[in-house]
Amino acid sequence: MLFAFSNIDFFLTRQKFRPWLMKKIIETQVLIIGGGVTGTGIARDLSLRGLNVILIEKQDLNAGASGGNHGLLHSGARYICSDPEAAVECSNELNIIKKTAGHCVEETGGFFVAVSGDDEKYIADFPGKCNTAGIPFKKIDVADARQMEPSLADDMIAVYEVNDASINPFKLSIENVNDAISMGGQYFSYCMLQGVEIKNRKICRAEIQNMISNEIFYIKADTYVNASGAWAGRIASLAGIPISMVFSKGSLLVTSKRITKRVINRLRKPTDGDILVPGGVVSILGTTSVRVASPDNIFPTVDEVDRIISEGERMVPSLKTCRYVRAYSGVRPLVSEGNNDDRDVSRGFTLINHEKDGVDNFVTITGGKLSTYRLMAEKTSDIICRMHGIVSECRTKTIALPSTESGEWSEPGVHISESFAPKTRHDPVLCECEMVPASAVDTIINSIKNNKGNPDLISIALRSRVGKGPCQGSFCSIRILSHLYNTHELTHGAGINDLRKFLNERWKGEQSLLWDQAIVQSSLKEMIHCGLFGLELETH
Amino acid sequence: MKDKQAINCDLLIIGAGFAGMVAAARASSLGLKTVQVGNSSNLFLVSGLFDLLGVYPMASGHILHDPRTGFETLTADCPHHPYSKTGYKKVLESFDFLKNFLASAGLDYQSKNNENYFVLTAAGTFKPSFMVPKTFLKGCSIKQGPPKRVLFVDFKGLREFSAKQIANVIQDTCSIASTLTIEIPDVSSTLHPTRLANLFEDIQFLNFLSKKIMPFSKETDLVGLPAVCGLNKSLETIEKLEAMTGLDCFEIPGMPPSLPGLRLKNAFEKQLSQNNVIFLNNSKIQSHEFKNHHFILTAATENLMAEITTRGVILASGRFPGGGLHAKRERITETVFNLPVRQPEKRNQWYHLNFFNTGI
Amino acid sequence: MFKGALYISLIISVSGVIFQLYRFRKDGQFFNRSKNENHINSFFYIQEFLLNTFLQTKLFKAGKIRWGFHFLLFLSFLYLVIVHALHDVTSSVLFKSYDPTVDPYQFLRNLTGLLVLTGCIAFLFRRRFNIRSLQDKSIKYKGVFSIILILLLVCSGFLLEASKIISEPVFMEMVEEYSDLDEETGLSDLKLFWKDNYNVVFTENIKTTPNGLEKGRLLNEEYCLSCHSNIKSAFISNTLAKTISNAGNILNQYRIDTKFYVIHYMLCLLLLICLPFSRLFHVLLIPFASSRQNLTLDSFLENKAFINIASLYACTNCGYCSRVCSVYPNFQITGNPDVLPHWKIESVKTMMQNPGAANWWNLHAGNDECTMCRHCTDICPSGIDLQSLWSVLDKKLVTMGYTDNTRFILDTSLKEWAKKEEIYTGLIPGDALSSNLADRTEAFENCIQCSICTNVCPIVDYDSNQNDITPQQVMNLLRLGKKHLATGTRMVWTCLTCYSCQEHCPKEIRVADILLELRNAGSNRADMIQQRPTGLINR
Repeated sequence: MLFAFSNIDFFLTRQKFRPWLMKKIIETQVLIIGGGVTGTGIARDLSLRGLNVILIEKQDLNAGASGGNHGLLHSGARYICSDPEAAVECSNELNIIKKTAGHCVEETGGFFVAVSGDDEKYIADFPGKCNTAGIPFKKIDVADARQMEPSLADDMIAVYEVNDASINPFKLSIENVNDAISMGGQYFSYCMLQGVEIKNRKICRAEIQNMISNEIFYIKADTYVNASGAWAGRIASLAGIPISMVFSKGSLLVTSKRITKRVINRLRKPTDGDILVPGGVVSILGTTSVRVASPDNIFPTVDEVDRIISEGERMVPSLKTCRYVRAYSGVRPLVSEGNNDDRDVSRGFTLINHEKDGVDNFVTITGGKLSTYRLMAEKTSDIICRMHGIVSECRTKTIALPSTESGEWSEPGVHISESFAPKTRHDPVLCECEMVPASAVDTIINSIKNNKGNPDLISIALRSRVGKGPCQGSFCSIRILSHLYNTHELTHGAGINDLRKFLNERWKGEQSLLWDQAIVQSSLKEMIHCGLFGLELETH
Repeated sequence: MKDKQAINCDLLIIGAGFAGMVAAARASSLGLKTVQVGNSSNLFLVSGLFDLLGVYPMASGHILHDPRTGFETLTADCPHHPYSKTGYKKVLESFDFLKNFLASAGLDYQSKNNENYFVLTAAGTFKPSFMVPKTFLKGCSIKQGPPKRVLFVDFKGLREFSAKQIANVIQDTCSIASTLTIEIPDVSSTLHPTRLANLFEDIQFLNFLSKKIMPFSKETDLVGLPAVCGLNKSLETIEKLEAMTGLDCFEIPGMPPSLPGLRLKNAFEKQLSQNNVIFLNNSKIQSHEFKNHHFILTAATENLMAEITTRGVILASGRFPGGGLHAKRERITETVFNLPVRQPEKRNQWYHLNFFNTGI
Repeated sequence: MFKGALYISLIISVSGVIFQLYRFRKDGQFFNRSKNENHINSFFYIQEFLLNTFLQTKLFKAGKIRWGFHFLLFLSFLYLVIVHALHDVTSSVLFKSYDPTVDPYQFLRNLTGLLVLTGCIAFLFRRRFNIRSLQDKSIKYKGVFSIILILLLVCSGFLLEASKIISEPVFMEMVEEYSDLDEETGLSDLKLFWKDNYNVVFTENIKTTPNGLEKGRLLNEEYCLSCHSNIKSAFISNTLAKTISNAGNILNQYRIDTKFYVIHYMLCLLLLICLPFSRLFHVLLIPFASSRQNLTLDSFLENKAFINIASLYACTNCGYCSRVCSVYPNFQITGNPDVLPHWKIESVKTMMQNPGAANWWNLHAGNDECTMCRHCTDICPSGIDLQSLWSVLDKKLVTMGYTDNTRFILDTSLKEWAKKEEIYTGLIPGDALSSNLADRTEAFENCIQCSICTNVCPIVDYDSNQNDITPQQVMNLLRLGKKHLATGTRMVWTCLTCYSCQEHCPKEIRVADILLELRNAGSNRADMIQQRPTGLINR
């Protein structure tokens, strides 16, 4: 078919399995299902405790809510009213993550800003509740606040400073996986759990399908962790266990340029469009909360986008006129408790030991938030260790997450000065918007191949800033495709389908915010890819 | 202060893209005193191909070999479509006019009048087009003629063009698709199309290139090059290269900035100025009024202001990239005269969820 | 006594000249890396002396009116020196009929004295009012000392003559020496005649009788006229004499004429002594300056350069160079006087003599502005090769560690430059507060990445091996918040400001304007990193 060898073949040769005897069974101690921040966090946590893990993901890293969020490390102040317990958790985790994964974090600091017309009572209660939860804060004079953040609205009435930070969830997952792999763990992307066999109250093996080669293989593990986030209910049902989930979609917008230095929160009861988080060189504005029936095929709608902007511009007026490059959505996995507003559902996580459901070696972790991912991984790992009869302290609290080369390219703009310093090597810039050179693409290709993945446009874009700039892949897609062909990573017509998939993936994020500059950009994209290359025609 | 200049003319053309340029060509050759405003550098973004109904009906994605068949269906389906109103014959006449106009500016185009060409693109796809630069012609025979042995040449540092990609994607269409990557000394990293086009103007470079191509001459019928062969005299350059190598050569259009587009820009600008068209480059219409059967418009650039009195105006300001239309979050507006724009009521109907959706 | 003073002055003056020439040589070490200096060809010296010192051809080119004044002053002074001051060895020998009190010499002396006086006053007037915009006091009044000295000299000359005219004692001495007249033989008639016609003031009251006057006239013809032309030709001194004649008796009593003589003589000697140490020296140095040699960039680099330091002292601070200087507006903006050639040359002198006192960064910043247009060199009335001096100065400053920003930035890798960014970020005004294009998102966010700007850029085409970042990428750097990095890119510093990019941009982004602005920002940053004064300089 399209690819010379499937991932699993590649793996088996490495493991010196003899193909003619092969039952295609891989053994390990723990199988983790779901490659989001929680899954990768657990993989690292357990690896650090000396367990052998395999992480499978039906798409690629952070395909779900882990990739569809603000990238905000909450100070906790947002939850002081709705969920004081989560607020304290956030506050504690913030300090740990800052310490152990500092290279994924930007200590931006944050403001809580109220504008005229906002709920006075909420504003008045804020300091007291912060004190109760032990969250550090500082009242800032409105005029000073505008000095510090000139983009803020003129009609601010109250500003509090908290120690929010922004985090790059992609880098976080990549580094967690890389660290787990370095300790003997394995990561299979595009591998989907199809079913489990249960014998004697235990899952004895899991049936897995490689989504690219469609090959079926088995993984035999001692314990199984369901860290599939919004898909947790679906995975649990494969083991015959019902988990009732509700799905709350949140959409976010990415501006073309960073607008504020700090995280800007609206000082009011959490609702739509009230957080603006700087994400490296851009700012991310969100979110919404829309109940959806399924976590699959979600995308931001025009209505959501308009709602977010009209709320956001109250805090930061330039959000009305600035250029947006992309919108995206994530689904909050919430374990149903029958509430009406999904924001009232606790953002605390749900950790279920399925012993009570008759499966002794199966744990589900879902819910929660990015800020507490490490805690979630720790608690889950604690249970797993208990199942394995191991007494081991969690070490992710103290051992710093190492930084690897392949993880660095998910970070915007950090390498710019380096790649241009002496220009002796042949290293053209393939993505001009985000200045990603060919050598970076090569690094990423190699790391994907090392993880037994398949380097295509989408997986390269996942691990770098490629396609994330204002042109949204109009130019870089073709350049990287050329590069992939030139380096023999692609053969035949596969690249054209790749290109289509990639452009469509980008388009999902563009279609809801096509006005002003973005519509000009996308028209140009259409001129190139449809007008000239005729990619919309099915004849190639 | 800006100098204010008064210009009287028969026709003002707003826009300097394809449509504006062709309109100016036509009007000036009819003897109208013509003024043109706009920014001609948008032509850098066009591929250099002139299409006429390559696909119809749109939703079917059906590629038309003979545009006339689609034309008939279109006329029946939408009698108000500009094509339907113009009529096939008139369209062909216009193409002939354009062909002759460009030829007089030294840019050679060709059309078959009853058949679309299938032009090989840099992505490796084939695109139906009606009138193509002569330098592209031989590439069209890959899809339409008997299988050929083709050598694709690319240049290290020209990022948007991969010979291997084209060879891989179309390998079933050719009998042999081989590739050659030329490394140009003194190019450390990136080779920009215009720089390469400049090199092609140099006979030394063509010599260098032909020496690299020669070893392939025995197993090759055709040589495909990126569309960067010379700034203006591309056909001459290709012919020189053919004479040196003894092989048929052709250009493959690709990503902007496009040299075929630049050639068009240069050809139009040269010929239109010979036809006494006043071209106020980079100018924008600032105000307009209609008085005594005349339009009075003010066009301004950074250091020039012109008051243009004209009997007629052709609005050829283009869509979103050209700036003729502007989209706000709420609605789409026309930028010069604020003409009403027919549009879906809400933005979520402007575009389909699938980028490649061909349905309407 | 006078002779002795004269010889002493002469010795001082000559040794002064020698000392100065030695000092020039020594100062020259500052620039000169070569030991074997090329000495000036004497033929050249004479030729240039005739052309430029004597005829002042270069000054003629620079300004006709000033040349007129200057030439007359110079010619008159030269006349006074040669014919009047040195008459013992010149006029008396050359002209048989020479006597200071006969015409035309008496008239010419007054005339030339007047011209010198006019010239000096014109000079002072010009310094005071005319070139105010160009300089401050310290330079404005340079050379004034010499002018005042000359002024005093001429004035004392006139006063001396006037006091001699009215002097009875002098009259009596002359009578005794050149006649045998006494009261009986008509001395009183002669007195009467002299009183009336030569304005001598006598103590005794002499009665005016027509008879006596006639007699006196005859006696005058007999004894005096051969040596004393009509006193009216000494039109200045005579007028002066008439003015002071009321106090004539007292003045005569104190022999004021001899006092003036001493003053006049001493001023002469002072002038002689000052010649090598004052601006007067330019007369002798101009030929050095005019015959340019060995002062090229190449020769400097090859260690063969020789700056004729003497030529720097030929500068009279006339300010012509600064008036035509192409970057005069830069001075108006930055206020750095070292932009201006006539100031720079003084700074160079300070620098050579007392390196500690020079404001190096000012000098460097000022010299950096030079566009090498050669206007200063072309106009310099002294013929100083200023242009080459600036080039060599630039090299010299670089070797001393005062690199210019272009070189500094191009020699700094972007990585280092970006590292410095972290340190200095805090000093740059924040985004929304700035009116700079590069800080305003809307100025560049319309970019659709079409790279037309890159493709029409002559620098990208020409400099492709060196150039790191294209115009489009500079716009992207701005969007990525890497403004300071952008200011250090080669693109920004090699931009020709041809505006092709801006004219071709389909989205009307002011690419060239932004590049230019970034270059200025980068220059300020380089100043800051090198810790040198930036922006307005306090004078």
